[in-house]
Amino acid sequence: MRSSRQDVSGNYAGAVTRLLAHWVDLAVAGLLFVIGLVALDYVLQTIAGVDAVTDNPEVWSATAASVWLFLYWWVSIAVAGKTIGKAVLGLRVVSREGEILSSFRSALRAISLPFSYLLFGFGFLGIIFGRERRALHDVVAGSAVIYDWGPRTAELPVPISAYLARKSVTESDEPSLS
Amino acid sequence: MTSQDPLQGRLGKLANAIAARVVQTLDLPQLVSEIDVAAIVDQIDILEIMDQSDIDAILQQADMDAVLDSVDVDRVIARVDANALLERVDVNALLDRVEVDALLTRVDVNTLLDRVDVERLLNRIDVNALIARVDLDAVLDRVPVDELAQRAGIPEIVQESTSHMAASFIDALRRIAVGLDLVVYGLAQRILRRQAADLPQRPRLLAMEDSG
Repeated sequence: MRSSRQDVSGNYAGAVTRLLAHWVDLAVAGLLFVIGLVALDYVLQTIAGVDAVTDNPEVWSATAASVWLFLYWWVSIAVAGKTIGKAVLGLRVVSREGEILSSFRSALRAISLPFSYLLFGFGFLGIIFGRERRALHDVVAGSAVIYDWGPRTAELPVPISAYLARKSVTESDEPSLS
Repeated sequence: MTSQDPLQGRLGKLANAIAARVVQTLDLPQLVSEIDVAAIVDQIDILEIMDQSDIDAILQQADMDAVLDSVDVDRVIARVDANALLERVDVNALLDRVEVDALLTRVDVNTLLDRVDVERLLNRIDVNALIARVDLDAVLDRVPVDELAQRAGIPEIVQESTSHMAASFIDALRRIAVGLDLVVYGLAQRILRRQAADLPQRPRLLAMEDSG
């Protein structure tokens, strides 16, 4: 049945996959942040005698979280072309043309990512309605997100593949889902 | 050469004449039948006779082949009580005199093995009874299970199968997500009244790689 599945490797990734990957990234980054924050606070208290978290909890936490989240998205995209969440869901960030995204553009993408949340996530609508399924931070960084399952082929489920195959045969002049 | 005694010559003739007459008169068969041969034999000391005899000289003059040809060996063997004979044999003493190493060096093991019907031998072995006598716990205690598992590559197989299962599970989740992507995107394009065929499916360079 594997051969009956349609190959979508390299295609633009859709909203559901990217949303799930984003949730995974937020969970992983948040967990790592808490662990790192506790470890850093312990080190600062024991070595330098500074109780930064207790003294300025809001400022300290917000600053640390911002820096950490930027580093998480920037470094992982610049080094591997994917974050942990994107790796789990089988996604890769490339340039708009399909090349490896530069370190600078990766940083730009990480900085502009929070702006996609503004106005109730208006910046993410481009993933659903855009021609190239790009969010606001993708447009800013000149990036795109594609399906990439590594050595394995990214595939559609069998029922949808079969539906598309039938549609392409019987209604070749009709617009298909893909 | 000495001259013969005339008296002795006459006596000798007389004696011969008398003897001839006696022999003619005697009924020899009657005489022989009246002799007690058994009594005579009892008085003969055979051992003394043998001691005085030169047995070797007698045997050298004997035609042993003719003697042996006249012996009915089968009949002799038939009369031998083999069990009684064997009971008198001291097997241990016999074996002590056997030089086993020298005997074994003369054995052609390959020829011996060629003559062994292994199938027949195995058929006679009661494997279940044999296994029942084996102390498997003791055997297994001596088996380096960890080393065997390592040499058989079982950890790699387990790792590979585990990785394969995890990858299959993740791929299944990914397929569901990709399917939902397609449904959501298709609905959005219907709302916008776009022809999906006119929309790019992938970045330009990747599409070129795919087509070229």
